Amino acid sequence: MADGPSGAKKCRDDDVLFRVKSKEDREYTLSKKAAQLSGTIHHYSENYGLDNDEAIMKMEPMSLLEVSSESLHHIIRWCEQHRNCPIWEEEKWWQNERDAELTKWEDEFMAEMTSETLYNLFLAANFLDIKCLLDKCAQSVADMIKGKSVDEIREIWMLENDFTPEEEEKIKNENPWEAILRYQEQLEKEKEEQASQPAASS
Amino acid sequence: MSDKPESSKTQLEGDIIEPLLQKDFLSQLPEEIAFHIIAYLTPWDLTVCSGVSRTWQRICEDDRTWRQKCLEKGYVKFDAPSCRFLGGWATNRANEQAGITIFSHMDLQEAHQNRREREIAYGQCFERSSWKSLYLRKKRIISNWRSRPIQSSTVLKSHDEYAIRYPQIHSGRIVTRSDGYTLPVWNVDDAQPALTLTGHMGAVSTSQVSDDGKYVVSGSTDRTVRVWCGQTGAQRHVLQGHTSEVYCMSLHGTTLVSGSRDGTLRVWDIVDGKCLHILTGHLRMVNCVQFDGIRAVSCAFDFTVKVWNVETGECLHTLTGHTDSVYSLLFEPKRDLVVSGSWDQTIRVWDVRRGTCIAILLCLRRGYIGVQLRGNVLVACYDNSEVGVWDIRDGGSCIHRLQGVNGHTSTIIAFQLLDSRLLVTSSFDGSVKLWDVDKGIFVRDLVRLESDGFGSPIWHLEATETLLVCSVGSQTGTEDRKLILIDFDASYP
Repeated sequence: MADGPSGAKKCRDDDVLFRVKSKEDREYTLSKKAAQLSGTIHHYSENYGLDNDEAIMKMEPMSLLEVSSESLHHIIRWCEQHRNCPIWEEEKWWQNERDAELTKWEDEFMAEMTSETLYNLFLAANFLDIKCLLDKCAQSVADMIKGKSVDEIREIWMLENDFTPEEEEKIKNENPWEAILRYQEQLEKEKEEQASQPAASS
Repeated sequence: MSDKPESSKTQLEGDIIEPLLQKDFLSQLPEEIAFHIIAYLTPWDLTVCSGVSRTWQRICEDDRTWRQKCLEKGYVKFDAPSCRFLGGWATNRANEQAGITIFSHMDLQEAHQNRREREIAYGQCFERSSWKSLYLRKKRIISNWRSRPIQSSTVLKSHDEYAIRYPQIHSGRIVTRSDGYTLPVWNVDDAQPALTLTGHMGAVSTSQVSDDGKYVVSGSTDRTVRVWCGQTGAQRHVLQGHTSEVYCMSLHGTTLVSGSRDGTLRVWDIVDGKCLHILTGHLRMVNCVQFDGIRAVSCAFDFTVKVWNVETGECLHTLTGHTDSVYSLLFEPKRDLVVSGSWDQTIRVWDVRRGTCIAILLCLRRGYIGVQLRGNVLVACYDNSEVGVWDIRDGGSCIHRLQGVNGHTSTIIAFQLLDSRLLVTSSFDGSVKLWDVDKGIFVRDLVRLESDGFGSPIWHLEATETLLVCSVGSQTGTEDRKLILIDFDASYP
């Protein structure tokens, strides 16, 4: 597997390492600071007395039965990259600031994901309760949807239209933006007609 | 506006992921994750997505998500949808009156179709998500102002030969002042006269309706303040004490502060009709007063603005700096802000807690008709048909001047700034125009009087978010005195 975007941070040798195990029983390590980004791991450490370096060094790997090796690999890359970031405010996500370099790294990170990996990463981030990653995943999916028409969305996600034609018409009429666009089109049409008429009569 | 679809910000991701996308993220992921995703969508995108499939509709019409979208825009309080098609709205359509042009008015057939839609006040969307329905209704109302054809309009005619001025819209009623010393009151919904408040022995120079609609108060050149029952129109009290014309007033709860040409302000209890305090200190006529229940702020022809503690009658601050008469005043108690406009061609912004001036806006023109504020955006109309839009932060800066080829050709005599950052202006040129103060651009023409203002300008106007009232007066007396009402309301989809 590729190591990801350039400049990726890795845990240093002198870091205290936290041990985790994937669904496939494969062991991974990540730095203590990176591990603390996960709410789930944070709770686990509190419950199992992993609050000092010595205890962590002696720990048995924590089993993450819901997380595949592939997702875990990406999660660890994400967490190591973000281990020195200020605490992510979930309720005020729009106030969280990231420097440009980190944002670029995040964008490249997301760009590597296929639909399937993103889907699994999303579930894993949710299970591990990593707020900054959850927000980034949500934002990425939202960005794919933004600005698309109903037909484009159905085509990309291969979704079936299960509305009746009557229901569809009603939904269209509810949309005030649609109404404005239609009205503007009508005005332009009238303008064109007016413009062409005098020419025809003369 | 900001909820138009953004062109995909992270083009990089989009391009790489799209061809591979097959997972239906919204339907297949746990619901709490789906809600997390849609929180990042704009209202426009949410509306599009809810038309994709039944599952997407269910997720994208999550009421909490839409509530958040409404709160972000400040869409909270709202009157129930009105149905302004009956009574005078049906018989006195303004666009059929001689001399009045209402731009892009619906014809009868369109209006009929529109009326049938409007009769369903709460549509199916409201049942699925009331907050989404509220958002869409608000959007519809804004587009009714900005671009859609005018759906309904009417004319209210004065019964006598007197002009009707200064319309004030309050809970389904319009209170006006007639030159015949009375206050005619009209119903909005059926566009018919409701009451006439009769009793003053001189011109009515100021009036206000209480927040609960129970009282109407008015001040007159007859030196009295009168308190009327808002429902029956009966005169409750005649408040005597001012020794000259009552020129301005401000009501909060049942406490009234009135200002007079005699240089004093009086504080009244309008329930038992007693004078509680006399605020003395201004040297000349009091021009404007604003009262928040605790403090009153007044401005006068003595070039000063004064801040009063109404409970004790004590003057807290005298704000000096203007070098000519102060003609208008704005008071925002929450931010301790006062804005004053003066004939010295400046507008000053004051911190009334400290009593200091925090900004001086150099207009270089005189203005006569006051200033209005929404957030940090201040609008002032000058005597040369120009409108100045100011940002009052950091000492104040002029962000737009509304004029240009579509601008008024004569002095602006009335204006109203709406919560939706639209500005309505009327001028001696006989036209009513709509502006966007955020972008600083002309939006559309609403009304034009055929005489082009020679003889019948639109003297006053008042607007709520859903209704515009213009008062047409005649200088020469050759034309009817009337009110033009235009409806911009929409029902819940």
